[in-house]
Amino acid sequence: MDSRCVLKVEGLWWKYQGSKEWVLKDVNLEVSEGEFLGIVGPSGAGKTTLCLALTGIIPHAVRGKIRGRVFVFGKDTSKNPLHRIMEDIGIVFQDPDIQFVTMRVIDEVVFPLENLGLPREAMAKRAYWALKVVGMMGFEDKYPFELSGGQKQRVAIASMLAKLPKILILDEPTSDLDPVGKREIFQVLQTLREEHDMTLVVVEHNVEELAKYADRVLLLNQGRVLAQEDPRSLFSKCEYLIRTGVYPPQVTEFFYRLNKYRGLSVANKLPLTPEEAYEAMSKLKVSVTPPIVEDASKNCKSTPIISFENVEYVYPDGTVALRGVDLKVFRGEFIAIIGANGSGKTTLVKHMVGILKPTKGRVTVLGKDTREASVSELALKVGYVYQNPDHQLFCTTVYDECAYALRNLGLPPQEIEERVEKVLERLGLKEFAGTPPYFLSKGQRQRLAVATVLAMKPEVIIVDEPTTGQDHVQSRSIMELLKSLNDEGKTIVVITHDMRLVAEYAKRVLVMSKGKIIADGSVRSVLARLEDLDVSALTPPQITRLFLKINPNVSILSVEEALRTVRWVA
Amino acid sequence: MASAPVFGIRQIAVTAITAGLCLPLALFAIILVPIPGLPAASGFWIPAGFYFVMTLWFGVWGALGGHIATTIAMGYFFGYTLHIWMDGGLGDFIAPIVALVIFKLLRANPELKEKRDYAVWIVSVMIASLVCGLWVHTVHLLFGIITWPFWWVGVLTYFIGDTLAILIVGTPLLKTLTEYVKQSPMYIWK
Amino acid sequence: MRRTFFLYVEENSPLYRLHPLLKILLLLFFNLEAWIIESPTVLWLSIVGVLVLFKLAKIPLARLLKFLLFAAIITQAIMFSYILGSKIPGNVVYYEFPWGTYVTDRTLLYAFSMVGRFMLMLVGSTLVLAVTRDIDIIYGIISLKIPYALAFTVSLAFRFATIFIDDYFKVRDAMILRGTALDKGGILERARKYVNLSIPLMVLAVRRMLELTYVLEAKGLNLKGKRSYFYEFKLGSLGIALALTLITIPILTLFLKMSYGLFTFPGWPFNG
Repeated sequence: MDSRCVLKVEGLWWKYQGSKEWVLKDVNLEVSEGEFLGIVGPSGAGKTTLCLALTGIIPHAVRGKIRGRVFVFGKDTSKNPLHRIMEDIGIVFQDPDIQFVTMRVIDEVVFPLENLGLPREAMAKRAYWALKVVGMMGFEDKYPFELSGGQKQRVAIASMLAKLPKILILDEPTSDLDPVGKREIFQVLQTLREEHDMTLVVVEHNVEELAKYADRVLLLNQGRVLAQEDPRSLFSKCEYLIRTGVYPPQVTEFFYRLNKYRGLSVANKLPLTPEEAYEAMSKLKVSVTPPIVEDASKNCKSTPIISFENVEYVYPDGTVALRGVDLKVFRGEFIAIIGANGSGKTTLVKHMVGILKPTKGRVTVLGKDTREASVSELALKVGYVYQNPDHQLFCTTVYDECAYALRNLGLPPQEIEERVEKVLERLGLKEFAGTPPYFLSKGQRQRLAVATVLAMKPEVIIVDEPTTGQDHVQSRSIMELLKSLNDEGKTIVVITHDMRLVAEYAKRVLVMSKGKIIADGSVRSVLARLEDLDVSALTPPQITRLFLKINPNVSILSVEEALRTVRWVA
Repeated sequence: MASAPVFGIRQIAVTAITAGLCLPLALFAIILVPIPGLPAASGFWIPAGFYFVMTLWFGVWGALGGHIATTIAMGYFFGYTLHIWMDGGLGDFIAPIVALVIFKLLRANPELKEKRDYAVWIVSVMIASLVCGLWVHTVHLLFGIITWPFWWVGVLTYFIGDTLAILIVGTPLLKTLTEYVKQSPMYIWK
Repeated sequence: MRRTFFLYVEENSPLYRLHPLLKILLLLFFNLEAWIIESPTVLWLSIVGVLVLFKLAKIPLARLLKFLLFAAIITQAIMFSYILGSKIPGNVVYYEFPWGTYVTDRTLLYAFSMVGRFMLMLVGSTLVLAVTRDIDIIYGIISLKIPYALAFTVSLAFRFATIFIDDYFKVRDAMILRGTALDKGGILERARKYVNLSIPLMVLAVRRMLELTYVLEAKGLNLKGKRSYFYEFKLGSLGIALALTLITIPILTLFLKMSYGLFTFPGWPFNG
């Protein structure tokens, strides 16, 4: 074994007990000391299973069939006790909540050290060091419910760091986080790499961040390693990646398509960041023509279907979640609401469906004051799809799930049948009508959650974080569905952190901060001035940033639009 | 691979998750359907449906989780007393184990595929509820919380209430989710 | 100010700084005393004593107001049981029920005494929990030589209860949004609705169970080998003296009651 190789996987096959399919198929992999290995792949590729195998949790704590071997610092994981393997490795999982197994930050960080039987002084020294590294000093006495998702995830990293592992594995650590949380985690990873020379293995859907930091990226699909290369080389294979279900960084895709379809070799190596792309663009003889923009104000002439007048909302514990919100939603709009966690996005949309009633001010839905209407009455007009579909699927079959609300409404059986069949057909779920919802994949469950709302034929559909924890293909599929509903005249309100999807699908954007709407306008205008707003965590998509840098008056929303914008100067 | 300890990580996970799930449900049950005259009781003991099912799927650790949840929830309202621990707490530990033992002895299937499985499920819940009802109200009586005339009323209402709650909540859970839960490595019927 | 189970207390509160073992002993002390004592005078005087301890522990008495509802439930439950279902002879018979029980002046005194008994348990345990952190529970249980695994499981249960409460409200709101009126209808009707609510909660629980095993493995949860503890609680001579006092007093109370009839209520119905 190479002396610098700290992690080695040899011909690894794995299938879970009771499963017919191998989840990992002949995986071979070597990680060198101090290396940052990124792992990408669509949902179901086997990424989490690979992480569990790298730590020895597979096969020690999970039942199944294994072939091949995994070595951590030369120790065969299947032949050494798990606690020995774990001395060298730390792992951080996706869900920040489930990883917090004690009631306070300091207890959480010292917990693995207590398990190691360390003396008290050593524990304190290591714990405070780890908290300092992740920027959580001063939070020692905080309870989990007093922390944001990003802060909880940083505590999870600190609790692993305190063990002083030589290798840190992070399995989609930013999936559940808002833009602030994502940025916090990548800053911590950068510190670990630069100041502590730690070996990092990071599974991540956010390829743009990964491209910035990783030395090498491994592409996994259906349990097989399809490629393991440096980020530039891997992300340059744009078409191949997209076919696999992984979207490359936007600027990389832009230059790739510029090369391919314009038949020009515009750069020797494809850029990965807007800065590199700007440098490459400045060497080209191109002009940028601002796109023709449709008049976004045409809807404003109609009567609003939802209206907020100076709305304030105070939670029972005294937290002021909305402060003087004025808003008008018009028929046929596609609105994206963006902002950090705790900025009031979900509180705002819960007022639209009447789950929350304003403490001050007035909310009207189709002319009716929400304080005078019941939630079920409003639900007929405004449908609400939760972030986690598991919170809203409670029937025993997919069919019953869609029929549930209709039965509550007392509709005749024939109409229920017609509506349910139509909506299941529409969302590609007809073949699963008799299947229990929890047997569906996460993407299918998300579609079913939309179907249950659609069956009620609401005029407005609100979708809360439909892209969280989903891969890019799943996210895009749900956004395409919303777009087609919008094309049919439905009003769509979506909360999302994915700025790329906001740019490509929304027509109007609301930016929220500290309970207020601090920007409201067409997606193009809001993205153009996003970096000037006091919401440091929100950054426009790569392609928008690139073109704003070239010409501050040109706000580009997608790679396609960017390609149409560029003109060659003779 | 080393053999798992009796109360290892999996068992802790089953116990803690069952307790964590049943704790708020127990609090809600006491608030939503209180019984005048019977402290810390609820006319519809929702958590019982959950920890009975958890016990059938995952063994005695589900019952231990139910016991912890009941003790904490009842104690929250009525003081962390020896009495609370002995009556509802221990009673709710014993009852699901009674059902599990009957299920195991009669080799019934938690998926409730056949009429016989349903019959065993109903009978085991009835016997378990009766045992628990007798236990709880005898403890109440010994501690002086209730008087004799309320003893049999308590046992009877407990028996009916608990049996109904467990059957109403537990039956659909067993029927619909056992197939899904079978995939879990903690499932004991393999 | 430090956060405990029920509230924030001042860090220099003498009760907050007690050894976890003493907090558990204090909890047992109040419960045992309440169980042994029958005399309403002594019981209610003890309650006043506990309220004084609230002051000494620097816990604002106003915090007790949040438990008024619970106290009212207990009071009505006990009064209900005694008034409707007891046969305690007394000097004055106020009412006879068709089913054979009756209410006398003594019935009301007994009920009053029982309410005092439970109030002492309630204010006593509230006092202790008001100065108890979750970490005290773990250390207190360990001090009693109960296995760490059990102490940790109890603490995990509290942690997960907060997660499931959040789930519960989300599922409930989702049901309301699809036209379910959870608080309407008879008991069976409500039960049917709760069945729907139970399915997603159970699915989430089963999913989390597996994830939790991975997390605990990753954190190296050590149940068999030697583990150390971050916090150090020294009992000290004063603590040992207090522990002995908390153990001795209930024994002494019981002895005085059995031998000399102190703390008893003449004619207590459960004295045989």
